[in-house]
Amino acid sequence: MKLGFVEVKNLKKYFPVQKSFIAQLLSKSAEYVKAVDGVDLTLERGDIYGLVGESGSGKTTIGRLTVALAQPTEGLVLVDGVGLFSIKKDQLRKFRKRVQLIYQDPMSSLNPKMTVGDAVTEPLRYLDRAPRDEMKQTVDAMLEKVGLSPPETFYDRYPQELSGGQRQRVVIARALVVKPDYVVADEPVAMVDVSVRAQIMDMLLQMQKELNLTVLLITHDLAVAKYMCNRISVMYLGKIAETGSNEQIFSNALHPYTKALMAAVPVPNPRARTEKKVPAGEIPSALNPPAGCRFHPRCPYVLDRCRVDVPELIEREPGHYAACHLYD
Amino acid sequence: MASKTLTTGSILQMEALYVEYTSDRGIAKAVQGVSLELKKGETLGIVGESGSGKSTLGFAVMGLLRSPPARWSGKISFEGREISSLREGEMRKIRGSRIAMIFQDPMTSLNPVKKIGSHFVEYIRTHEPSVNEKEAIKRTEATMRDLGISPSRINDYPHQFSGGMRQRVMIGLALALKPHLIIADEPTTALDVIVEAQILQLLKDLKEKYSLSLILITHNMGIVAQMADRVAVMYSGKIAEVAPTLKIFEEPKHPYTQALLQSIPTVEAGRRVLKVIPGSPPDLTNPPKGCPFHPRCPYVFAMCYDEEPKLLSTGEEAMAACHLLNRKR
Repeated sequence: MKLGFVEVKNLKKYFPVQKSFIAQLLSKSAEYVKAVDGVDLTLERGDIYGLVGESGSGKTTIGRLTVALAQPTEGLVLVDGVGLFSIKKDQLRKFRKRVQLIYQDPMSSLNPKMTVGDAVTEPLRYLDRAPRDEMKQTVDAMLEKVGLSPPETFYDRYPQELSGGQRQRVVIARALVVKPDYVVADEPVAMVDVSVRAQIMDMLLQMQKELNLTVLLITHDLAVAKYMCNRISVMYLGKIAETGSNEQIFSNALHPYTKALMAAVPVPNPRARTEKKVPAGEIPSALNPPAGCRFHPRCPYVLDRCRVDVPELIEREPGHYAACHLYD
Repeated sequence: MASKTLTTGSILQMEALYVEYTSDRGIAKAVQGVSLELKKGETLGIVGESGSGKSTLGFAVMGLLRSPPARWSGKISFEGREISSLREGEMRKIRGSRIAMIFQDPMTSLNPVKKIGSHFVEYIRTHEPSVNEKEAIKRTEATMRDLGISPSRINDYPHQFSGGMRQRVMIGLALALKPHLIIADEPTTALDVIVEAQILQLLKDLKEKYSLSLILITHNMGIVAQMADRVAVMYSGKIAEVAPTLKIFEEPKHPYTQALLQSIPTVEAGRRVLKVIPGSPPDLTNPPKGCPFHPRCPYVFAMCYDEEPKLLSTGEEAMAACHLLNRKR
């Protein structure tokens, strides 16, 4: 079988729940939050792959696992054929150059005491160890690329002297300066002002093309995924509900959860005002997920078997997968 | 006369409102000369980005500004009575019982060691001392039913409630004293999209049921499109444009409104090309001279650099502050 550039296989991440001393004495069995519970993803080279879901669906945990910032409970992540969790420590350091994470919050992920220049040079110092003037050139070129131009006017400034959009550009420059192949962008525009979002999204699209990046874009915002991604997976409670191309997800959603998400988005069109028929209730705790299909307690089309059998993610049309018994 | 219904039907008026905050970075001009009116039973959406002054407007109406660091001037009238010059003791009789506010973050607004029911009972009895405990509990149970929460959960604590349920509780508390005006400041920003839709529907239903007037403050154009009768677009502490919702979305007159609508992605069919707005929102300690949008405006001309545009009529109940409107005439 041909492997994708990034291949995620049966990935699981369970977080143990801290129990009180008494509870530990009384029962031995540990409880786990099953943040990610058996996820498969295939990203082809050059994909901008959207991972969409509500808070608590496990999307950020997957992102962190695929850049080796966390160890899985079970499963594999292969980047360009290299298994991230079987790689030796000194090798991993080299490999970090190839996989990078763009953080969500530009205020808390930048050191307020570090200038823009230092912040963008830092990853190079650790991962590249090039001569000083060469690094300076690389940093300047990257600042220019992400739209912090001319670089010398930004080099010595501190994050708090920048606007929100500019800070996000610094965070992106920091991730891309080491020329990675694979980048996880975790909610890259969630904290950016509305009028600046399009700038940042277009810049990311441009960067993807120029650097031939493979991107995993994590977002709760379907409209952002629609604008940026070619393939999309929708997550619910640690599992994938549906995977398909942008077109398949937005024009022919199969899973009732995807449909519910879509219906819930407030559309900026006052003529499209409708009574919202959204499922009642909220995403349950991953500590004790529902049996069978995890969406069944909220699903308007629930069948008897949904309460018992876990639906598998099955290909329903070429390239379009849904984990739903309605299509069996 | 057409204006007759307007004056009798008005519940809130703001006139020439100015608010400044002193900070270590200088004086931030949060609101700069805003005049707005809310009609009885109307939902007015106030949209803007962070720092546009939209939340400050809400605080000003609620009488929640404190000096220092805030300084303000202007006139706010509610149900025909000027409230901007009221003493705190007088304002307290209006706040909560006549005008109530719903905030963004329901977790920080509820007391974690207090039962859900106690939040209601204490709140009701503080404002209405004549109500006894039993009656207050009865009213609480009725409100909980309105919110779609089983009254059997009256003795639960906030942490036993999900994010959406907590926001329902906040809405319930805002409604508990039967106010006439609700100010909702980003009421769904901390919530996931499905819960957001539930909460917005609840707000709509309760607004109908109790014939409330609603000011909905948000950065989300989708929410105003779905909820508002009229929309005020704020930029740099000023109103850039105000008009009925349909007109804002279909015939926006201010270049900022136009640009904003063309720059937001949507899930609606057909992949659109987005228009990028250059630059960033202004620094309120040092706002641009002239029209505050001029550094980012594609149609900027000489006048915009130093002359501040006034709000001009652009149709029935519609106004925009842009020099282009003058030039076209």
